[in-house]
Amino acid sequence: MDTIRNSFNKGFNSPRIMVAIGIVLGIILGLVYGWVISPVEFIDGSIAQLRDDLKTEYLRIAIDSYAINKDADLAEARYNRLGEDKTSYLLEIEFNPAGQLASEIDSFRDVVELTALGEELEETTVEEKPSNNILKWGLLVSIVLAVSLIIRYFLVRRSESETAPKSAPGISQEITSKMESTFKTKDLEDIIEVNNLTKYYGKARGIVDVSFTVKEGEIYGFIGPNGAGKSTTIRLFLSLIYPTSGEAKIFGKDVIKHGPEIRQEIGYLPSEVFYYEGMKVLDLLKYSASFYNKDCTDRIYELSDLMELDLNRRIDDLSYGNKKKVGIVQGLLHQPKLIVLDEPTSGLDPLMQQKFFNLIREENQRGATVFFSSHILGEVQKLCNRVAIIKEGSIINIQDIETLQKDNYKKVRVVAEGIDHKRFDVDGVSNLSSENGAVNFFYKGDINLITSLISEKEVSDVTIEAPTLEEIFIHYYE
Amino acid sequence: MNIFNHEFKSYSKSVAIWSGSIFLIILVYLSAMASISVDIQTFNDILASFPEEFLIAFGMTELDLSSIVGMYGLVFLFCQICLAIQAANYGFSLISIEERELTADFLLAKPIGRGKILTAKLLAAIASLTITNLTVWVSSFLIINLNNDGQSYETKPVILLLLSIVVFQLFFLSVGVLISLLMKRVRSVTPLSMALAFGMYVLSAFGGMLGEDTIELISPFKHFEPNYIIKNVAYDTPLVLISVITILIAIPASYLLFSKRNIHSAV
Repeated sequence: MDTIRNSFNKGFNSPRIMVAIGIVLGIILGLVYGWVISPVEFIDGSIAQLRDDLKTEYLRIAIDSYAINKDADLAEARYNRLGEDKTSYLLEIEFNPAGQLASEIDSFRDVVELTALGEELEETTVEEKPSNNILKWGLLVSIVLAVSLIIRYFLVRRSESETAPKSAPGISQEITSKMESTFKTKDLEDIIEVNNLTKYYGKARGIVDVSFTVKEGEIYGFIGPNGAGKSTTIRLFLSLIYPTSGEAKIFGKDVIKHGPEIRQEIGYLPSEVFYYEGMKVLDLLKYSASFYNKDCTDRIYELSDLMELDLNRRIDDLSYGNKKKVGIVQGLLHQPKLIVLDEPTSGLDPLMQQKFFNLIREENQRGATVFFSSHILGEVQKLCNRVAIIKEGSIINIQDIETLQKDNYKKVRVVAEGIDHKRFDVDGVSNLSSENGAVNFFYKGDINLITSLISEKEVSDVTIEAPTLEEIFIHYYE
Repeated sequence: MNIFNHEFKSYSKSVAIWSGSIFLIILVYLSAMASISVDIQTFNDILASFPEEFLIAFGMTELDLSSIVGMYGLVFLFCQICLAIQAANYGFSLISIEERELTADFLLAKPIGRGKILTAKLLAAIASLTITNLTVWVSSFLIINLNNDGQSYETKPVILLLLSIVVFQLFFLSVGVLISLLMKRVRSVTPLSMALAFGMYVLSAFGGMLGEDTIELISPFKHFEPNYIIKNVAYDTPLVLISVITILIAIPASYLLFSKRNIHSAV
C-alpha cells in the first residue's frame, strides 16, 4: 500500500507523468466529445438530408406503382417492409383515380416519413458516424500530445540554461565544517543535514553555500538579523521554495524528492500569521490534523488548554498573539519528530512565552528535535543547546551555547578613581571604553592576566561576567 | 479528500450567489423579452433604428425574437458573461489566495504533494462550477416553459447551448490558473478575472465590427456564439476545438508551473 502511495506521490512531482495525465485526460475528453456531442450535431444534419431522400424515394415509388397500375403483387412486394397496414393503404392509392394522386401522395408521405423507415435509417447512420469521429479526435489527441512534448522540451531546456551564480566554497564553509567536526556526536542520528545549500531569487541573494547538521534531540538555534536568510533556509527545508544548488536532507531523505513523506513528521510554525477566512479555530485545527495519519483530537484539546486558546472563535477575530497560538497548536498537534519554528514568540506576552518554552522543552524531552530561528537572542540563549549564526546569507559561526558564552569572552567592568583605560589595552581585550570612572571591555584569554592587571590598582568595584548572547552577537556583526 | 471538502465548502457561498444571480438574469430578461415579443413589429422597428455597430456589439444583428429560443439566445449571452467571470475568479484565486493569505505556508508544509493539492483544488472548483452549470440548466428550461404559454419549441439548440457551458467554464478556469501561476504575485483577483472575461467578450463582440477576424478566434465567446448555435443547430467545430485545446494545454502547464513554483513569504 505504501509503495503504491509513494509512486503516486512521485508521479505528481514528475512533469513527465503530469504530461501523460494531460494526454489521458485529452483522450477521455476527446472520446466523450467524439461519441456524445458530435453525433448530436451530426444527426441534426443527416436527418434533414434523410428526410429529403425519403421524400423523393417514396414519391418515386408511389408514382412508379401507380404507373405499373393494378399490379398489386409487385406493389405489395415493394412495400412489404413498411408493414401490413401501410401496404393496404398503398394498395388503396394505386386504385385511386389519377386526379386524387397528388393529395394521396401528400398524406402518404406524411405518414411514412415520420414513422418506421425514418427511424430505421437514422439508426443505421448513427452507427456509422462515430468511427469517423474517433479518427478526427485521435488526430486532435496526437496534436495535443505533440504540443505537450514540445512545451516540456522547452521548459526542460530553459531550466537547464538557468545556471545560477555559483559561489566558490568559501571560508565560511571551512569554518563550518571545522566546527561541525568538533561537535559531532557519533551516536546520534542526523535529523537535518544541509550541504552547500544556495538559493538566489533571480539575482537577489537568499542564502549562499550554507552547510550544517542538526543532531537528534537537539534544540538548535538559528540566529541572525532580518534578511540574513533564516526564513529562506526554513522554507527550503519544507520545499516551499527550491534551491538553486546544494541539497538539504531531513531524516536522511532529500527534502524535494521525499517532501510529503518527510513533512509527515515535521511541525512547522510560520513566522507570519495566516488564516482561512471565516474559519473557526477548532475547524482549522481539525483540518490541519486531517493531513496526518494519526488521531490528534486529544492533543488538540490538551494543547489549546495549555495555551489558553478559545476553540470556538473565528480566527479572523483573534488578536495577533492569539493567532500565533493557533499556529503553535497547529504545528505541534501531530507530535512531530522535528519542530521547525520561524520566529515563534513575536506577539506572545512574556507569560505565554514562558509556557511556550516549557512546551518546547517537553516536546524535546519526548524526543523531538527542534530547529528554532529567531533574532531575539535572549530566548535562544534560554532554550537552545547549539546555535548557528547567519549573516548576509552565510553561516559565520556554529557553537555550543555554553562555549559561546563562557569560553569565549568575559565582560569586565572595573570602577576606580582616576583609572586610565589604556592600561587594559592588552592582547585579548576588545570593545574597550570608559565612562564616569568605569572601564568596560570584553576579554578573551588567560583570566589571571587580567585579574593581576586589576589588582595592581585600588578599585572600588569589579564585575566579571559571561556576556549575554546579545553582546557576543553584536560583536560578531561588527 | 480533506482539501477537496475544505475548498468545496469555502466555495459554497459564492456558488449560491452566482447561481442565484444567473437565475434572476434569465428570469428577468426572458420574461421581459417575452412580453415585448407580443408587439414584435414595434420592437423590430426600434432595433432597426439603432446603429449597426451597436447591434453587432450586443449580438443582436441576427436576432430572431419571434421565437422563445431566439430570445433565449440573447439571454444566454448574458449568462455566458457571468459564467466566465465566475470561472475566471475561481481560476485566478485557486493558488493565489493561498499565497495572499499566507495559508500556502500552512498547506504546503503538510505531508501532501503539490500535484495532489492542485488536483483537489481544481476538482473542488470544477464541482462548484458544475453546480452553477446545473442551476443554469434547470432555470433555463423552467423559465422558457414559464414564458412559452405551453407551446412547443425546439429543444435541441437550447440543449446544445447548455452543453457548451462545461467547456466554456473549463476554459476560463484553466486559463485563470495558468495566468495566475505565470504571474509572480496576484494582488487582487477581481480586476484580473473581469479583464479576462470582458476582454474575451469584447474581442468576440467588437472583433467582427472592427474587421479583425483572426484575433476574435481566441475568444470562447466566439467559439460558443449563441446566435450561431441556434441558427445552425450545431457547433462551429473547429472553433470549439480551439477552446478544448487551450484547456488541454493550460491544465498540464499549470501542474508543471505549480510543481516548480517558489512560494515566497509575505510582504
